[in-house]
Amino acid sequence: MNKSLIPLLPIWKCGCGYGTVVERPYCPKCHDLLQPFSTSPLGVVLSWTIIHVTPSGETEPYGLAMVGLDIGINAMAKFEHGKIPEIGNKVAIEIHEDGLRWIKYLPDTPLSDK
Amino acid sequence: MTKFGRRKDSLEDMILEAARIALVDSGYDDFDAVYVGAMHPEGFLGTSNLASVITDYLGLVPAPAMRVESASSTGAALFTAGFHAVASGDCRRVLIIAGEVMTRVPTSKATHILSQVIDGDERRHGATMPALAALSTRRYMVEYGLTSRELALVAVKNHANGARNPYAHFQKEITIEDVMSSKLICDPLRLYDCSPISDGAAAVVLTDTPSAIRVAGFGQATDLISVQMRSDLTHFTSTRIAAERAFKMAGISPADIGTAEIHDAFTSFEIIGSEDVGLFPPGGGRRALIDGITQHDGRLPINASGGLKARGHPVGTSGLAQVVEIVLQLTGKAQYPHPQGVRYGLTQSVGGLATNNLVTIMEAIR
Repeated sequence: MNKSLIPLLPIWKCGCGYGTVVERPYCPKCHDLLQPFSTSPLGVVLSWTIIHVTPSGETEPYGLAMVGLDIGINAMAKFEHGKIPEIGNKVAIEIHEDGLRWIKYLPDTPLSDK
Repeated sequence: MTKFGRRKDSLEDMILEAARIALVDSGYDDFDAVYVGAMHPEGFLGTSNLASVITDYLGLVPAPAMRVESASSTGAALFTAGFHAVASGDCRRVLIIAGEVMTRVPTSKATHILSQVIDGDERRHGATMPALAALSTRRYMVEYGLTSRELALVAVKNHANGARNPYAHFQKEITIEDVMSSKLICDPLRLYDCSPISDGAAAVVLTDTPSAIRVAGFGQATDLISVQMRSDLTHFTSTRIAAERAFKMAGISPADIGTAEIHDAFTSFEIIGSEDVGLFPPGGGRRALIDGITQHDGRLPINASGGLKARGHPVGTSGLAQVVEIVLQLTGKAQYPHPQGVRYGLTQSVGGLATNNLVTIMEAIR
């Protein structure tokens, strides 16, 4: 798949350079207003967990990863249990219909054998 | 302090029990103010106006009373609020009491209440407290070479300590195999890596009159609610800042600390916390654990009481319970094996996912 077809990821960014995927009114670094922005959805997997004991309503284990985006900020993204991304490998993040960030595996993304 | 665990007593009765012990131990029965801590009695019990109720039940009306809350570091924040009242000269003597009853609600509801303290965006993505702790733990394992079997040593150590503490929730020793075979909560954290849901209360009297223990220093700092917004996944800036402030106020360095109670809500947090307060360099907490330095008879005991892991974790109480444990250890009154003749003891408390952390240093006056 062509990586360029993956949509840009919406973030909030400050003139001072600070950025975040979490919507906040003010920059925690310089207290200026944060503005909507779009950035590359590519990054590397920093950590992951499979949530086995789930909050009320969830019956199946599910995955949650922390991705270090190329722009230099971290973003949390979900992934399917059984498709564990290896730490240090390149992935993309895309927003699904549920409005949440999900890991998108690139053609050359290896999966953990765990 | 009361015994921690699954208790049948009401929150008010447990708080009164802890208060009576503090009153008898201190010899005081009148106070300029009462500080009460509980994280979420509204959710766990449907009760409120706790500070006034407790002050009434203790017969201390019309003493000013208020409740303090900072998630799972409530007990520690409460202690600093009381300290400020005395240090400012406004009060000569204050009663500080914390209590939480968590076992009346089903575990799923308790987990739901505890999950409310984390960031909304992360919660929508399915994050829970143990999930965020797991993300931090796995990253620490990758960066510092910590294995799951090594991590299990924290639970083994703290259960062994708790087995000798009559106030502890869990009073049985466990093995590495017990930890490794316990069910996964949030990979790599297993059941035995997580502190229990407990009931319990603790109380402390603070006075401007010199006594056997002096508050040498404390520090408190907040951090961004969303873990994604922070740059460091393996360590907690809020603890580091709190520790710097506490050591500066005390005028000592981490090398002067002889015993520590670290917020081991998750086993990895003991290692991370011991590094954040400066007792060990980054990665050094793992080595100290493996080498037995943090055992109750080691060079620097950590959680000789059993910690949150084995003494139990009534969320609003734990921060104050740590203070009580250090006081008992420094005065030689602790009923479990602990270091003797120590001058300085440290507590570290984590509120939420390290969003409101505190470090307190106490000194034995001899």
